[in-house]
Amino acid sequence: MKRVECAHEDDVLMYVGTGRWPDRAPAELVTHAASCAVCGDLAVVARAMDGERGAEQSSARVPSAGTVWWHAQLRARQDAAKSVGKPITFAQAALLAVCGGVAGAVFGATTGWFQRGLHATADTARSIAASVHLPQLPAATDATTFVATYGTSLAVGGIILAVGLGVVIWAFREG
Amino acid sequence: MTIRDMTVSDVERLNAVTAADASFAMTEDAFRAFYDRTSRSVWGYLARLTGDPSMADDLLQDTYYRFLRAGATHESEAHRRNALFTIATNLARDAYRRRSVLPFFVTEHIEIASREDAAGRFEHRTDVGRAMRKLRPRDRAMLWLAYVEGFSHREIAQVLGMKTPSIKLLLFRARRRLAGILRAEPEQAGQS
Repeated sequence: MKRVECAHEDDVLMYVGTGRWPDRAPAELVTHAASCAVCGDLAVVARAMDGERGAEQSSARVPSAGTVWWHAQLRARQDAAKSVGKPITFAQAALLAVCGGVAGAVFGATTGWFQRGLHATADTARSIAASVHLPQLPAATDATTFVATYGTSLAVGGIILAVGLGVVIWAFREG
Repeated sequence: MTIRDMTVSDVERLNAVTAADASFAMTEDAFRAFYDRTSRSVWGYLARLTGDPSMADDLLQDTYYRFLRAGATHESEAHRRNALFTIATNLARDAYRRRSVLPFFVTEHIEIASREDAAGRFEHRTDVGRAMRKLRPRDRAMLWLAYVEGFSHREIAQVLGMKTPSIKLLLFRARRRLAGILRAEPEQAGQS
């Protein structure tokens, strides 16, 4: 298995870091590095990177601390002001949709005029389906049975539609 | 606008802005001292990682902003520094992903401006810079953190989001690649 470390690495690094490699490093260490793949690569790379460190200190172009601090404050205030009155989150929209769906199902099953209207709508739908030869829906004997039969599907469909609308509205506002 | 003229939203906004002022992880004085100690290192790291000094300028500001807003407490200067470099690395990574037209490593020759270098040192730096740009960003990051910033393997793993035991082998390979490129470059590379 190829060796990936050597006991002399730290010594090589120390001499490179103090600017003594290879001229003022022990001869046996320099000789070792010439034949050791690990130490040889380390000496080449560490010397190159050491030069980069010095050059970076002198050439880095950075704004002043005051400028960065001021920009950060400004940005924090802008972000804070934006977050106030933010539209409802996706979770809030989903919760609203679920509550709406449940309330709708309960309302539909218990309200007389709603049931009568539902019954009339079902009759109309059946007659239209019959006239255009669409598949017949199974007839419900009354509105209560209709809601009992299709209520779950209606509630689930309503929830899915409401959640989808909530996601779209949230996505557009977030964008 | 008097208090009576303010709406509930205005009050909420004012409260949010006031809270934002107090949300920074450091006081201004502490930040100035920390920034003066670290900014050149972070900029150099970002410039090498991205190969683009202009991008490094933007990412530098973002890095310190996120560091201030993180609100984390740090046990020591070393931890604070690690957190800073972690944020810088993640921002550089995100910037790469956003710039989908850019190749995986930058191949065009981009100089890092040097005001004071003599011609010889500038030549050296462009050779090392050119060699570094032939490496993958992860290799550049590891080599910079290890041999310019002096990070330990554990610290490098934390910054890059990797496992500590894997750093030894990956660093060995990155070193191998860079050494091979440098040896193939003109004799001036790496020589003072």
